[in-house]
Amino acid sequence: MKRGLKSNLKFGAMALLLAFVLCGRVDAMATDTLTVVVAGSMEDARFVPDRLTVQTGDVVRFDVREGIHTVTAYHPDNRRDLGIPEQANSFDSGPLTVGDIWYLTVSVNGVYNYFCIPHESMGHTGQIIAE
Amino acid sequence: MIRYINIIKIIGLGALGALMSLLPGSELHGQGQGSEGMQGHSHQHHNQSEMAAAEPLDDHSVYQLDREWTDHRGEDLQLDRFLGKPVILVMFYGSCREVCPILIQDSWRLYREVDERVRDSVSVVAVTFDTERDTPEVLMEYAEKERLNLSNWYFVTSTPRAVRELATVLGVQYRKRSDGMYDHSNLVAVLDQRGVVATRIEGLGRPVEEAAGEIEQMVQAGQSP
Repeated sequence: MKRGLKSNLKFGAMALLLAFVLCGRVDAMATDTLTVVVAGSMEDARFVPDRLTVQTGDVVRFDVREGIHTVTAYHPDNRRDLGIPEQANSFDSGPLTVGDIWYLTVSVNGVYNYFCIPHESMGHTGQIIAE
Repeated sequence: MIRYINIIKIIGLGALGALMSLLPGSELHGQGQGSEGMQGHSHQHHNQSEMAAAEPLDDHSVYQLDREWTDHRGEDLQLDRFLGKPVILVMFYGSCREVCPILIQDSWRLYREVDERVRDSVSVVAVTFDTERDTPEVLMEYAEKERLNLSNWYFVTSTPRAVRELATVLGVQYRKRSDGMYDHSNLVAVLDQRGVVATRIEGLGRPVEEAAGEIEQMVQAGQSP
């Protein structure tokens, strides 16, 4: 009887451990979609939030509410110094206007600095930190 | 005399182009999604052969417009100095904080899409609408800020009349607003070696792969014996 209880406890503990491990795996694979609002025009142009921390694999959704903007990587392809992880691909959304939504999948760990081509000189820049 | 008749003819054609751009489906400040495909094109690079200098200009050549221009380096030039080479031509103004930076980016995307082995055979000419503010010094600042002070890139200005003539020939509409900014249509044009418009990319953020392929073919054709 005692032996049976012990064995049940062992089984239960192993099942619990397995469940934790599986949950952990599922958690690790889960990705999120986070939103950055692109608002304003001219001096008022801004990414909200302008600094966002995500997990690698997450998707960032850029939701344009006003004006004409781009989401463009600091990268030599875009005539800028490298401001994203070396292993990451350069990106440039092209022109986005009110109602446009553009997605960026963050697939490499590190810091991604990006800017809006028309409004960069007015400080319209943003940063994503992928951990 | 013949040259002036030709100028009138190409301005007439340009005006027709401008009228066409007013038709439904045409765009003023058009929008579009970018395409950043970087397909390689593999053509051999030889030295650019010059067009026979003695050949008369094509009736539709932009180079019939023999106005004086000044580039961002302060050098005077006429557009026919680009005779014999494909040219990427764009009209913009330096203080624009809306679409012009995207037009310049589009010109860069097209330039960069051209196979690097023939890229040196291509010139990029960016003509300002704003002949008052965009002095050669201001254009130099712009070129440096945009990291486009490259040997085959020319940011140019001239008289309002010269700019208007060129815009008319290209079918580009523009007008100065009361706030000093400009409304204008968005065009990146490719001129062939004779200065004739071979390709028009209208709107913003359009795909450039096809136009790049055409430029490569032009260079290759120019190299043929």
